[in-house]
Amino acid sequence: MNIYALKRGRRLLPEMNKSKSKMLPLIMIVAAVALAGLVTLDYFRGNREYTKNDIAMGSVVSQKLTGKRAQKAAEEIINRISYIESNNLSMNVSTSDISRINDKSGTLVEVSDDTAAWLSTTLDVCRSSNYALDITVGALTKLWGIGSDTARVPAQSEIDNALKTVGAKNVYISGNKVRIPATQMLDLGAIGKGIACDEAKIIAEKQELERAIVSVGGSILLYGKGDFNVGIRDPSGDANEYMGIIKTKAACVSTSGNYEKVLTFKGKTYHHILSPVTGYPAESGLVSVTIVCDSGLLSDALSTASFVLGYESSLSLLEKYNAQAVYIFEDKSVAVTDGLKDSFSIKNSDYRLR
Amino acid sequence: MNKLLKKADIFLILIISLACSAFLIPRLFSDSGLQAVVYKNGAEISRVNLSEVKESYETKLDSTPAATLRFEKDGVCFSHAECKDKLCVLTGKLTHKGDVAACLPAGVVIVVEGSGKSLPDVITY
Repeated sequence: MNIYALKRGRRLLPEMNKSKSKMLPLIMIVAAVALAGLVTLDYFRGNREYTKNDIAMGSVVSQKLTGKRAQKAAEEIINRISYIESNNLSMNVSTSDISRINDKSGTLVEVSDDTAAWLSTTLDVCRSSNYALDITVGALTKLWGIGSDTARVPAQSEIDNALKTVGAKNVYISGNKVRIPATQMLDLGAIGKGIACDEAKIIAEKQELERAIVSVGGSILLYGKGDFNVGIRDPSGDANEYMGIIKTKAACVSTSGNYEKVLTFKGKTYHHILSPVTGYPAESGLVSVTIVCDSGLLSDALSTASFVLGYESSLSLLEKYNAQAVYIFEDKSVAVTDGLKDSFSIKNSDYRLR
Repeated sequence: MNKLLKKADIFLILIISLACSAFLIPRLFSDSGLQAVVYKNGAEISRVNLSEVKESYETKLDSTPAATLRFEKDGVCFSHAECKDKLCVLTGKLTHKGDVAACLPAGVVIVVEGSGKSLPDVITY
């Protein structure tokens, strides 16, 4: 045996051991720091996410918020929604701006700047939709009472009388003063939840949230970076089933469907979206329309308008407001506007694209 | 021992690592499955781990109108409500993360929550 090689080998061995024993503490330190980092990350992530479920505007308000002040924001959002419901929008709370306008119909009523601004924007959609959306259907809504304990199918003469009061072009707004013709009644049910989404967005910005998903009775605010997957309720399925998914960046999403509030009488089902022309539930061959656009108010207003107008007649309206839509027809066929072609996918094989 | 660390340092590092692991491992592997969370007037009033429900049972809520919840191994539902439209009962059993049912007049919302990612994030209706 070569004695030199043996000697060299003996010298090499301890050197190798030495480098190993140098590495081991380093690995241990790195591992400990990484673990401690993970714990810290987990702690902060846990603190940054907040979920809250409440009832407001006659519906469930679900919030999933992410950010340093997520909990504070969630409380502020639900308080704000309850506030605008009882002070601005509700036709059932006597102190709200809308109730005061209705109660003093025929006279000029001073309202908050918010109410005046929301009314102006909505009346613009009413005009653009050729009054397929009409916020002066209050007398009709009350008469049918669909979704309330007093729901019933009215007599034709009652419907005719209520129809005489409908006509959004007769609403007068000047600054923050509003007047509607005597006996007319405003009903902002078609846009209230969308306005709530817009208000939630203002708070999300103020509280510097990273991400927010707020659903006000199915009208949704998507706020923050990244993609969101929004399921569209399956009109033929249970309340928690979806028929397809829209993948979208931050936006507002709203759906009008004929399954949501219904009244069944003598074997016939009546839904809550009333046609301002016939006074009966609107029939346009659609079971639901989902709108995606920048504004909650507009997405809500446009979903009702599009439901009443039907597929073809609503396309130019959506174009005007730069909104996208998914239409579901009675025969379970589905139409999608160009802007959603690549981001919408059907998840229930009972449905098919047109 | 080597120059970089003394015995005591190694001991300390081991303790820190063990403590962190003890905290993290249950968090990582505890995917505790689905939980039925009951909210009344916006506040969480109970949370039931559905995987721990061995036999189905019912709970009558202290609410007006009265409503009863039924907890099962794979879901939760309103089994009875004394309101007019009974929309909450008609919603059926909630079985997936994110499923929601509500009795509006009673101010009660039940939600299925879980730690996993759900698709979709939210449902429009």
